[in-house]
Parts: sequence; structure tokens; C-alpha cells
Amino acid sequence: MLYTPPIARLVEELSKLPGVGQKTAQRLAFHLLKIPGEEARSLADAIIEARERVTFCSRCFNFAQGELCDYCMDSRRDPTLVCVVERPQDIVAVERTGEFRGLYHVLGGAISPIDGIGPEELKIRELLERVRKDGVREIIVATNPRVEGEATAIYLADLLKPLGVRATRIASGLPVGGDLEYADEVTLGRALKGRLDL
Amino acid sequence: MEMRPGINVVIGDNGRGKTNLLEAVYLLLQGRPNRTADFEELIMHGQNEAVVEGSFDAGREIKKRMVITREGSHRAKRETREIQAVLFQPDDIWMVKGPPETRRKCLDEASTDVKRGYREVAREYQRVLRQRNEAIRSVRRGERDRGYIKGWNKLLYRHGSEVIGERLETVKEMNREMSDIAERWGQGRLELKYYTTMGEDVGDEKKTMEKIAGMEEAEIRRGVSLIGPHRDELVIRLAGRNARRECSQGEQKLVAIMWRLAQAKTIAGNTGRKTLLLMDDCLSELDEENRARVMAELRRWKQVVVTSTDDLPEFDHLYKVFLGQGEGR
Ligand SMILES: [Zn+2]
Repeated sequence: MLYTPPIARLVEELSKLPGVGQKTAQRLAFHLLKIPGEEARSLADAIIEARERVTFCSRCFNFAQGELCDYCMDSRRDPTLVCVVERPQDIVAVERTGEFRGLYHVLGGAISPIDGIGPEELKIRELLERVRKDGVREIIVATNPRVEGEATAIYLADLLKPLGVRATRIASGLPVGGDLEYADEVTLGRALKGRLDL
Repeated sequence: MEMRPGINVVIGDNGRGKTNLLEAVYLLLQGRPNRTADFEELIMHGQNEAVVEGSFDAGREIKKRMVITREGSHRAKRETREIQAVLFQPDDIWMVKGPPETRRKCLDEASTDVKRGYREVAREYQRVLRQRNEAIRSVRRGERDRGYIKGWNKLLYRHGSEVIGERLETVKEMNREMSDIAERWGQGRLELKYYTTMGEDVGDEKKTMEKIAGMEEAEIRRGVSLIGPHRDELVIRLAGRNARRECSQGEQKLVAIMWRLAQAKTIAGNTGRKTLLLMDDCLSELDEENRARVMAELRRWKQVVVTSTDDLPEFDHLYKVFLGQGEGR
């Protein structure tokens, strides 16, 4: 089907979004053409604002609105306890459990030779720096329970042990091969309590 | 086409669609095609898809339907797996006389049918293996240092030993069933023995990890992981001889048939599922005595479908279905 150029462009841009196929992109485009003009403008503004104002926390690499993210700025949180995750959205999953009162560290992915991702491509050097500087005494490795997440946890444990930091892995309860993002609160909360030494 | 309890014999010349029929029933019950299935052949010329429908009696009536397209197959709806199929094909002789890989594949297939969760365990191991091989290659290319492989060693051990553990259990059960059959058939002692490249001490993490680390040098040279269940071997011995190298073609065929029968028995014992035996051309190449032995064994089953090019006049109590010009394909 052929659309006039502005619609075709909108469909094309939308279909680039993760999980959005050609059909969904078309449906979304037609929806956007139907809604009031100010609603469409508000959506466009939100995208631009988020892009321009959201930065990465200089300490933990979570999304932030300035130098530090909300968690790193929260003085009630325990800075000697750090939970390591693959992506910023994994923090949300851990937070939902209400079981964790420490800070985070976002690696930006997991070790995956197939994708050409090694330790150098992740924020691992920065994590070690934090351990030395901030007096971290325990690190909970909450990478995804896929083999790449496991490999990353093992790699981290080998680095952390000589530094005298307790390194634990959230253990049972998480579905094998699953995503942290989709783990439900109860399982993740239980997993956080039952963490194992790496 | 209707099948009855006991032994059903589908009789027809080659090219009449006997194999297609068994493959269709297999697909219907297993929800996946057999190893050698050719979708193109199942779809009539000029059509886009084929539909297989079947009704099975497992205490209650179970209806199944499967749509096959040139891209693959899919179930029309989610169904329970109360009935399972085991298919013997003449090609199965390669599991006896072929390279280790063919036996690993058959062992994986049996483990998948018999053990809950084996498919996942095997898939995770394959993922570890692919990642580790890529890590090895990037070290070989000089892009990474040796530490890049190290993290994968532990996972190779963890997931590899899990695969081996599950396979060993399958082998133990298959061994029991196969040696029973071999004894009944007067073939002498049959023995399955699984040899793992991870070594006899695979239960000892420390020792095995040392062994894995010791391989790194050679692995970097070859660019591939050299130990783990992907390189293990299952040796089948019949009457003290290695079935792969020292048995006749006829004996090898018998062993392959024994394997399928044992697989069906093991599935039934482990999962409680009713098992339908599909035996494609299992009697050809066998002498009179062995044909009788195989048929006697098949009589122990509730329902079997056998294909044949001749109408087996020497056996009685068979339900015969003739595939003529108009039926099948
Ligand atoms: Zn932060």
C-alpha cells in the first residue's frame, strides 16, 4: 500500500521501534492522525524532552536528569551495598520488590562474544573504581539469568574476590533464560533475599 | 484412514506415500517434524499448504490438527501431549554405523522425549558453546586476551555436566530396555556405554575445571571447544563387538530397531504417556528369523503402524491397509 510521503515517513519511523512491525506501525500512524493536534504535539515534545534532558548518572550509569540519578542522590540509601544490573530498566524491576536499599551500577549489557561485547565494552572498570573509592562492601550481581548474564557474573566475581568485597548472585526463583525486567516482584524479592556467594 | 488396535500394516509400492503417512502421524503427535522430513513433499503440487488431522483414543477422544506450509509447520491450537509417537526409519541404521554425531542426536532426541526440561538444558548448553567458541576465536585473532575464555569455562562445566548427567540417566534406562530385547532376540549381551570428553571425574568440579583449562592452548589453535557433551560418544556393543565397526548390516538394523523400541518403552515408563510405534519398512533386509522376532516384539504393543512393500503372508492377525493409486499420494 502506498501512502502520501508524510504518512509513509511516520510509518517508517514507527516501524523502527523495538517490537513494532509494519502492521502495528500503520495502526499507530493512523491513530496519531486521528487524535487532536495538541495531543500529537505533546507526544512529540515528550520524546524530544526525554532525549535532551535525560543523561546518564556519572556514578552508576542509570538514567539521570543531571550529574547523578535519583538513587545516587538519595542519602538514605546504603552506598556500601551495590546491585549490578545489565540495563537501566532492570533497576525498576529490583525497586518494585521494595527489598533493596543500596545503590546500583548499570553495566550497559552483558558479556557476549557473539555480539562482540567483552568486559571492555561494559562499565566494569568504573565498577572497580567505585569499589576502591566508595568503600563498597557487598555487591549483588543481578544480571539476567541467561548464559551471558551468568558469564558476566562469573567474570565479576573473579575480579571482586581479590578486592575483599562480598560478591553475591541473586539465586533461585528466577526463570532460567528469562529477563529480569519481566520477573515478577515476589520471585525477584525472594531471589534477592536468597542470594548466594559467587 | 482408520487404524485398529494391534499391528496395522500399510502396504504399497515405493512412492505410494507410506513414509509420508507415518511422518504425518509423527508430526501430528510430536508437534515437530521428524529428522528427515521434507515439507515440500507433504504438500500437493500447486497447493500452498497441507493439513493433517487425526483423532486418537487415549481413554477419551483427542483430536489433533496440524497445518504444514512450505516454511514449516504449526499446531492449530494448544493441546495436551497425552500420546507420543516413536518413529523408526530405515535411515536410523546410521545411528549405529554412522559417526558419533548421529548417536548424540538420537540420544538427545530420546532424552527430550523422556526427560522433562532436557530440551532447555541442551539449548542452554548450545548457547554456552557458541559463545565460548566465539570467545576462543577472538583470542585466536588476537582481539582479546585469554581471560576472555576463562569465564566461559565454568559455564561449559556447569551446563555441560548437566547435559551429561541427563544423558547418562537416559542411557541407563535405554540400556536396560535394549539389553532385555537383545536377550529375547537371542543376540547376546547388548551394552550402551557413554564416554564423555570431560573425563571420568566429571562429577568433580575442581578436577574437570583443571582439565578444561588445560585444553585452552589446543582450543585456541583449533578455534573450537574440544571437550564437552558436544564431542562425547555413545558406544553400542553387541555380543562383545562394537556395533559401529564390527557388526553386520543386518545386526546394525536390528540394533536400530531395538533403540526405537527401547525409546518407546522408556517414554511410556517415564511419562506415563501412551506411545504409538511407527515402524517404516522395518522388516526389509532382515532374515526370516529376525522378521519373526521383530513382529513378536511389536505384538507386545497396544498399537503399531508398520509399512511394507509386500503383504507379509507369513504373519496372521494383522490389519492390512493397501495404499493404491487413489489413496495416499
Ligand atoms: Zn546513579
